[in-house]
Amino acid sequence: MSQGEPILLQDHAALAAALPGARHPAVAARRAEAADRFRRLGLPHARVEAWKYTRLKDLEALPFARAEAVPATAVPDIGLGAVAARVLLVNGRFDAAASELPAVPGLTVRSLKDCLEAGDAAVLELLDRDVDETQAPLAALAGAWLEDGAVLSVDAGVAVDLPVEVVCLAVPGEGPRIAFPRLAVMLGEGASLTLVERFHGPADAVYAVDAATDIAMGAGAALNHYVLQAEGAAATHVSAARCDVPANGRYEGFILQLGGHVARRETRLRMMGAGGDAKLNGAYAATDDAVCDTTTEIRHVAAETTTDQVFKGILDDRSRGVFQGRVNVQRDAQRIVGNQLHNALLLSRKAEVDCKPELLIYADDVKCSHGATCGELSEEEIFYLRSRGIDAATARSLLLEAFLGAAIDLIGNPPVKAAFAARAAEWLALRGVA
Amino acid sequence: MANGLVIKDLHVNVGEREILKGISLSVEPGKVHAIMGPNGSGKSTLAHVISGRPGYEVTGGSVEFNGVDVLEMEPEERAAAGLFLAFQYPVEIPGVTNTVFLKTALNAQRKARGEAEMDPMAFLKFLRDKAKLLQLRDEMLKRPLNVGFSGGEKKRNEMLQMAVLEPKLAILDETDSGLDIDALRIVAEGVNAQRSPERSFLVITHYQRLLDYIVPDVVHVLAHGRIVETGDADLARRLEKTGYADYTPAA
Amino acid sequence: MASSTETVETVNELTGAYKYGFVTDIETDFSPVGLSEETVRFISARKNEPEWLLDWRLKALALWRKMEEPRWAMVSYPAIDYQGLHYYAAPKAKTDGPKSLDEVDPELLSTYEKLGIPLKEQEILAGVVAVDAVFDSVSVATTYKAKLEEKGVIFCSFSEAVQRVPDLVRKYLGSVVPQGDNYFACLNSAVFSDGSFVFIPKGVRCPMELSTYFRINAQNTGQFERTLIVAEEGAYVSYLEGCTAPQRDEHQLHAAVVELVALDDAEIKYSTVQNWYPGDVEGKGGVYNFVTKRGACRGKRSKISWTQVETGSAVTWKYPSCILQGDDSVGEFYSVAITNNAQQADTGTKMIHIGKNTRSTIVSKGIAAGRSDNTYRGLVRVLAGAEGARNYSQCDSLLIGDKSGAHTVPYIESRTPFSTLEHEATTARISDDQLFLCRQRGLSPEEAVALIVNGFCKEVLQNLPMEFAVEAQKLVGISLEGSVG
Repeated sequence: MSQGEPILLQDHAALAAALPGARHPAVAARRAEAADRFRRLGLPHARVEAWKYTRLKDLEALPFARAEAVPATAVPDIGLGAVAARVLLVNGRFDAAASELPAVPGLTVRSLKDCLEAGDAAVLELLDRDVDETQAPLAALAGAWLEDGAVLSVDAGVAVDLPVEVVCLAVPGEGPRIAFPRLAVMLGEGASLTLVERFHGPADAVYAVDAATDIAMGAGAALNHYVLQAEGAAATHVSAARCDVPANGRYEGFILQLGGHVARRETRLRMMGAGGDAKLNGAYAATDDAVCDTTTEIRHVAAETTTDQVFKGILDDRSRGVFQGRVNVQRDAQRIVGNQLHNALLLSRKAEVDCKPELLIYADDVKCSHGATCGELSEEEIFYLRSRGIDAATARSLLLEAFLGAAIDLIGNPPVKAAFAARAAEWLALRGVA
Repeated sequence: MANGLVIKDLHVNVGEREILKGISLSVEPGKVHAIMGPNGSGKSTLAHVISGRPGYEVTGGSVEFNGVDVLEMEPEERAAAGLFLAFQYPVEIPGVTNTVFLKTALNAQRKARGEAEMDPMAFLKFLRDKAKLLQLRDEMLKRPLNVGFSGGEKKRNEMLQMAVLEPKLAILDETDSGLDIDALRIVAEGVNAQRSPERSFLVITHYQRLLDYIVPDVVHVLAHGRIVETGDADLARRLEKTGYADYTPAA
Repeated sequence: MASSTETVETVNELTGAYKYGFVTDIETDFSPVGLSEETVRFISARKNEPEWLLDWRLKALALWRKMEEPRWAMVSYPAIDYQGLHYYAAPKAKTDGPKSLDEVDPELLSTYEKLGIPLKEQEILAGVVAVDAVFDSVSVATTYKAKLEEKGVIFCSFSEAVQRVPDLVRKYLGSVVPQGDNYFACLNSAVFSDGSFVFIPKGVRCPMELSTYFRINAQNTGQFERTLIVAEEGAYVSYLEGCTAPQRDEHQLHAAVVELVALDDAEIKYSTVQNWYPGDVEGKGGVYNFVTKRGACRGKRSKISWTQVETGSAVTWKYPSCILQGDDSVGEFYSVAITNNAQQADTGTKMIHIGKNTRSTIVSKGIAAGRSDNTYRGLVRVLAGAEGARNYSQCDSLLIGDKSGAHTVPYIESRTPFSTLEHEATTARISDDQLFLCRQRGLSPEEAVALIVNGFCKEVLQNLPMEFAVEAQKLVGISLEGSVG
């Protein structure tokens, strides 16, 4: 991989000079540094432990170019009902015209581009927060092309009642294109927000999304963070969310992954203060030769923090599911509770699941556990339903919905729960899985 | 000097807070004393301090058992000296069977007292006999200590430990909490069977109910860290009617 | 028997915590320092090996030179100077080798007696255990050979097997762990010195436990033993292995390979109590233990069961594994790993399900005290076609003190829907309530910890043969000496 400039960084030096905020040395240096990092790391390979199970084969094989600025196409509705704001990022770029941005007291929505042009220190600081570089070559790539996205801020003490939606829409052009949507979320002390991030793109186009969400929370803030990854079936999707949960902060996350050819969602939480609590749950389903990767890392930095994770996945055809969940308890982070569960169902002889739940514990007053199972639908349960007069196909479909439903039920926000459940059911029905 | 337990002007802090504010109490061999009192009065603290549980700071006073200063002793030394605490919340130890636990404890105490260890076969018979008295099935002796035991089984198991270790003074810390009437009767019979001129009991309870079965010689009422009244078994009966309202401090 | 009480007694009897730290003063025959083709030829010549085996070793050396030392385990240690070691050390004997126990150097016999391993047959417990003793690089004595051979069981040193049954050795050597398998196995393949060889013919149930006792004595010497156990159709054998080393300030390298082969309906039970010198409280000295152990369940309904109690070594890198090839074959891994002071252990297993209806069980208990790091790393892989495969894994960690680390890194890979894999892991500590209860009932803090930890490990310890179980229980307590208070 060392023959010259990687194709994903083609003309970087020249193009970067024209990117927003390039006149600020801090912004320019950040892009240059990220580009260097990506040159050094390259695309993830099998010897990188964090990427042991997932190769970005389309990114390796095809000449991806940066996605152009284009107008929005239709945005799929997921039936969420009323929202506080709907932000549309088209190929990663803030599309104010197509967004719905009513005035909501205490909520500010800006484009990242504007913030970069203005050299906004708070935003830059948030984007610069440490990224473990060997684990994150795609973060380096996105950093090199840092251009636009959305910045959400909620003032201290403000509770935004309705959800804020951020829709990342891919609109491919000629040939394979990659977009870098970027989201920064800042909650003041005691603020609360429900954020729905979703990813959509055309069903059959080859495109890639390398997205990142950085979240800063003030003490006692609460965030519901729901993610729907519904990329097209030929897409490569890599996205990462990083959030520091403060003292008495509450983070509730849910990740529903239903799309992509190769998709990976990373969530990295750091529990920074006593009383912090995080629930991070999710469900995924894959068919054909899709690879669906859910990677989580939770670091208990401070004592008296609790986390709980439940993930469920269904793999059909030749698809492969990957779940990597790491719970890390740092030295002196005492009185920790950290639980994790991953269940996978394999529906086909060619499907595969790779699971790596890790506990790395450096403090002694902890209660940590993980559980993982993989198997098939229970014959006994199918038989039980059939014996009550339900045909085999319906029985299977009921059981699969119920399997994912057990995770989706953990979503705290009722409209989001209903929308995600409907989306999962529709997916199962459409793909003929159920 | 077999004069039993003598507590003089005992003051105990937990952190900055004074929980016991000058307790004096003597329990002679062969006697059963009950300590009653409202929640938070310091009853369990007293039990814990006597048996040496970490986390309490004695700021004044003394506790002697048969003439020896108990407060200077490690918990295991107090056990070997004959002090037994029946826990309010019996602790589980996975993988260590009841039998192994009791054999290890008994032999450790015997050794500390300079006595010979008990032969394994003799111990088994001894243990089974004791278990029978408390209506504990043999199968429970093979199970890990308190793991998967019901509330009642755990409490009976505490009584079994007392029966096996044959202490000189047994402190029952709210042993009646969470027991139904049948379990309560079994526990009480277990205690009564062990009453003897050499053995004394300190029965800590919130309710008078247990004292219908284990009739005390002396009843103390503990409130706000002090013994506010001492009497005979009638005091307990009176309390059942009046409750602890009389002992609420003036606002 | 009250194991914890005895544990403490045993500890009290000792001046230092490590009981086996003495050095035997015996004249030793070394290979020249360093590793080269000449070293390999020297070892092969000393053992009077056939040409094919020398070639096999040389091929391994060539492979090894191209390999890199693995770095993925959660252990850190200074670079090992592979050219600064002796690769062969043997007690000097007057003749080529002792023909019977009477010819064994009395200094050696007394060493084993001190270790609690009497080699004189009449002293061995009512004939239930046969022992092969390996001192540095060579086997010094194998007991009960004649009695075993009546049944057709071959139990001898590896070197002797090469001379006596070369065809068997050639057939199976490297068939489970090929030369180039990994860095340390490859090194072993080039320079292995001795070890045990066991062959149980068809239908034979080995009449007694077989045991090998490994002892590193010489200074600056690596120990590279190689063990090969073959159980033919319907055969059964239970094999025990124990290890100790003297207390030395510098590190000693140990890179062993164990290969097991079980044919149809055969069963091999392999138990290890590893108590190599762990180094002192500060982490000075101790054995680097890089071991490759793997069993192939080649036959239908075959079974391989690993039980290990790992208390020693400064660094442990060890993953006893099962390749479940035969339909309905069974693999088991029961492990207790205790680290204290500055020890580091990265240990676990691999269960590779290939055949139909194969089953595996993993029970791992890690205990970390002092400033140590204790990692379970395990792989369960179910290949397409392994229909009906089942795995159950349970990995529990116990932390003692707030300076140690306990880690669980399982890899679970399934390629068939008709399999059931379950993995559970927990991390906890000894609670203050448990300690206080034990003390209130009369146990000292050390006795309490030994009792609670033995309870925590019970599921594993009860898999050990009786003679070892008691030893292991005591060892659990001794290893944790100084971890509370």
